[in-house]
Amino acid sequence: MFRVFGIVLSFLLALALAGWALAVSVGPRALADGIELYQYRQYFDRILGDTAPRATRPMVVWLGDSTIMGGERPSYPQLLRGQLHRKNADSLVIAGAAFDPYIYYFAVGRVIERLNPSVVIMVAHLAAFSPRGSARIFRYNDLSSYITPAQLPRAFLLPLAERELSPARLLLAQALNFDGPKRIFFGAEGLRELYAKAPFWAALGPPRPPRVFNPRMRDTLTSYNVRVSRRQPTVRMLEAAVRVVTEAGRVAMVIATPIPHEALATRAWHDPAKMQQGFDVLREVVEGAGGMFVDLHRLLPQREFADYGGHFAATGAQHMSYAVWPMVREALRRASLAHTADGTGTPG
Amino acid sequence: MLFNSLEFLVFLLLVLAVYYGAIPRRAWSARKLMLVVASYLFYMNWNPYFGGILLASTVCDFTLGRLIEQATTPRRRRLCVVASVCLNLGILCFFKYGNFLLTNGAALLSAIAVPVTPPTLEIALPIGISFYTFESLSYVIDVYRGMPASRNFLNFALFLSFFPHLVAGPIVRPAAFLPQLLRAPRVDGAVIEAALARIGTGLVKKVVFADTFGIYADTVWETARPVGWLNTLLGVYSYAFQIYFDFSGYTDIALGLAMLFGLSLPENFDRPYLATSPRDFWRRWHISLSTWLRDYLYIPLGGNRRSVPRTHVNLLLTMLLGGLWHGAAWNFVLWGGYHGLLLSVQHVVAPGSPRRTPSPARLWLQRILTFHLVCFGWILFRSPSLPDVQRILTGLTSGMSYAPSRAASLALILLPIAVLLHVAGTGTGARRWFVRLPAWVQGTAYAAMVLLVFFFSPRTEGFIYFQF
Repeated sequence: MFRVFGIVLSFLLALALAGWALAVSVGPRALADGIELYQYRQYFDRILGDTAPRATRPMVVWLGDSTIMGGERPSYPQLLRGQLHRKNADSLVIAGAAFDPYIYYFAVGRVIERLNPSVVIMVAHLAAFSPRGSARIFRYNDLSSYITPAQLPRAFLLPLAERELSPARLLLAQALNFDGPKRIFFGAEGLRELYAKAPFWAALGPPRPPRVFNPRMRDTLTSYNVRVSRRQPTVRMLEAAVRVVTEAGRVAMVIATPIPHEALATRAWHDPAKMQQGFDVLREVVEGAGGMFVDLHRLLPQREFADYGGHFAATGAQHMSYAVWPMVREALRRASLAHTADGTGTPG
Repeated sequence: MLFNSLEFLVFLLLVLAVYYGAIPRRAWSARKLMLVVASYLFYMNWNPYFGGILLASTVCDFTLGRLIEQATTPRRRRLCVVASVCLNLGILCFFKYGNFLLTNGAALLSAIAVPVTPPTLEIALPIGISFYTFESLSYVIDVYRGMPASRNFLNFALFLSFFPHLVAGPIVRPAAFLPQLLRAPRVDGAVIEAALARIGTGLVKKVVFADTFGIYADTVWETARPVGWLNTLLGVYSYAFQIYFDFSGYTDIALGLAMLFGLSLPENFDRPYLATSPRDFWRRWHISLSTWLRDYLYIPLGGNRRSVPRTHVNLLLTMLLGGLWHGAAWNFVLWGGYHGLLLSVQHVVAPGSPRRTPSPARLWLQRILTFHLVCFGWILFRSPSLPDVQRILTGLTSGMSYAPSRAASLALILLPIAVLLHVAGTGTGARRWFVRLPAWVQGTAYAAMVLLVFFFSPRTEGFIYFQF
C-alpha cells in the first residue's frame, strides 16, 4: 500500500507543479479567454448579480432568443418599453442567440428571486423544438448553475440528457455560483482554448470549419419541420419554466413567435395543419401550467422578416409591438389582481 | 456520466471513500448494497426512469430463476424460461426496436397497397439495455441448463447493475461473476496499481486516440460529396481505429474500475486487427458478445453439427441478429449479414484450423486481407444509409488527390502509432512492465496522462457502444 501512497503523492505533486507552471506562464490570458468564451455567464451575472435592481414597481421580464435581442433596430420589447413606462411599469430583456426553454428554465428561478418581476414573458420559437443534434442547438450548459436549490429535485426529472446534462452535472454546476470554482473553470476552459488555437496547429493544415447555424433558406426552413408533442423534451422544459413562474405567484406568458409561414408554404414537406397541431399542444401545455399563451406564428408576411430564421425587419418589429401590447397589458392586469388578492409580495 | 468526465471522477471518489472508508470489510453485504445503490444512481443519472426498467428486469429474472430451480416438471421449467425470454426480449424490442418495427411494418404494408401512417413511440432508449438484457437472459438460461439459481437478491442485483459494466459491457456471465460475490475480495496495493494502469490505458485510448480519429472519420462521412481516394481511405482507417480504441478503451476502464472494488470482469478484446481470418476476428473482437451469441444462439440452433446448408443458415442468422443487436437500423443488419457471409465463405474455403503454422509473410498477408475485409464492414456499420455507403465507395475508387487538413494530419500522425501499439500490444505485458516502475515515475506518468486527457477532452464524445 505504501507504493500506492507514493504514486498518489507524486501524482498530486506533479500535477500541482504543472498547474503552477501553467498559471504563471499563461494564467491571465487563459482566464481572459475563458471569460470571453462564456460571455453569457458574464451577461447573466451582470443582470442577476448581487447588485441586480430589485423591482419596486411592476416589472416585465422578457426571456427570449435573438428575435428579441435588438441591435441595429429595436426589438418589439424595446419598442414597448415606453408604453410600459407610461403604465408605471419597468421592463427588462434577457435574450441571447438560440436561447430556448432550457435556458429559460435555468434562469427563471433566479430571475424571480433577484428581480422580483410581476410578469415573465417567454418567446417560443418553433425552431427551438428541433430534435437533438440539430445544427440550431446551442448548449450553454454552464447556465444551468442558475437553477435555484429549490428547483433542483424537480429538475432531476426533466429531460436533461437532451442537452448533455445530468443530475450529477447540475449539482456540479452549482459550484459555478462561487467565485473560486468559477475562476478555475474559466481559466481551465481558456487554457484549452489557447491550446486548441495554438499557432503550431497551423503546420498541420486548415482546421475543420465549425458547424454553425446555416442561414441558407433550405436549411433554415427545415428547422421548422419539427414534431411538437407533450413528451417532446423542449416542450417539457417550457412547461417546467412556466410552472416555476406561476407557482411563485407571477404571471407567465408565452409568445409563439412569428415564423416565415409564406416561405414554408413553398416547401413540399410543409403541412400547416400538422404545424397548427403543434402550436395547439404548446397552448395546452402552457395554459395547463397556469400561463398565458399567445399564438402569433402566422402573424407576419414574408416582407416583415429580415431573413428566414424568424428575425424581424423594422416593420415586423413594429407590427409585433402592436400585436403583443394588449396581451402584455392583460398580463399586467392579472398580476395586479393576483397582488390584490393575496396582499403580499409581488408589486403589480 | 461518462467515464472520462469530471462528474464521474467525483462520483467514483465518493463511492470509493464510502466503500473503503465507511464500511468495514467484514460487512460485505453492506458493501454490496452500497455498490448496488451507487450503480443505480450512476444509471439513473442518465434518466431517472431507467432505474425502474433495470429494477423490473432484475426482480423478474431473479424470481424466474428461483422458479425454474424449484419447478418439479420439465414443462414448468420450460414455461419459466420462455416467460423470461419473452419478457426480456419484449422489453428490448419495445424500447429499442419499437419504432423500427412500426416504420418498416408500415412501409411493407404501403408496398402492398395498404397505406398506413405509423405512430411514433416517444420513448427514450435506456442506455445499456442490450447489455444487461443479454446478461439477464444468460442467467435464466444457465439456471435452466442446471446452474444453481442465486439465492441472494443483492448478489443478483449487483451482477446486473454493477456500474463498470452496466452501460457498455463486457457482457458478464453469471457463472463468472456471481461466485466472486460470495465472500469479500481482498484488494492490496498490487491490485490497485494494476487497476490504475488499466484505467490510465483506457483513458488515453479513448480521449487521445479514439476521439482524434473520430474527428477525421466524421469529416469524411459528413462531407456531402465523395472526397479523394487517399482521404477516404484515411477516413475508413480512422473509423476502424476509432471504434477499436473507443470500445477497448471503455473496456479497459471498466475492468480497471471493477478491480478497484476487488472484482474481475472478462476481457473483451485481443488485438482484433491482427486476426488472420473473419473467424479469428470474432475470437478477438467484442469477445463477450461473440461468445454469448455462440453459446446462446449459434449452438442451440445446431451450430455446425447438422447439415452443411444448415450450418450456413445458422452462421448467417447468428450474425444478422448480432448486427441487429447493435441497433435498430438496416445498416447494422447489413453489417451483420456481411460478417455472416464472410464466416460462411470461410467455412467453405477453410473449414478447419490450418494443419501447419503459416509462414510470417503469409500470416501478415492474411492479417492485412482480414483487416481490409473488416474495414469494408465498418463502412456498412458507420454509414446511416445506402447512398452514404455508395459515396464512401465512390470516394475509394476516385482519383489520387489528397486534401490536407488538421484532422487528416493528426490521423496520419496517429495511425502508425496506433498500428505499432496494436502490434506490440498494450495488454498485460506492457501494464506489468509499467507497474514495476518506481512509484514516483508512475505518479508523474499519471499526471502527464491527466494533462493529456484535459487538453484533448474538448473534443471528447460519448462512447460509441453506449448507444447499443
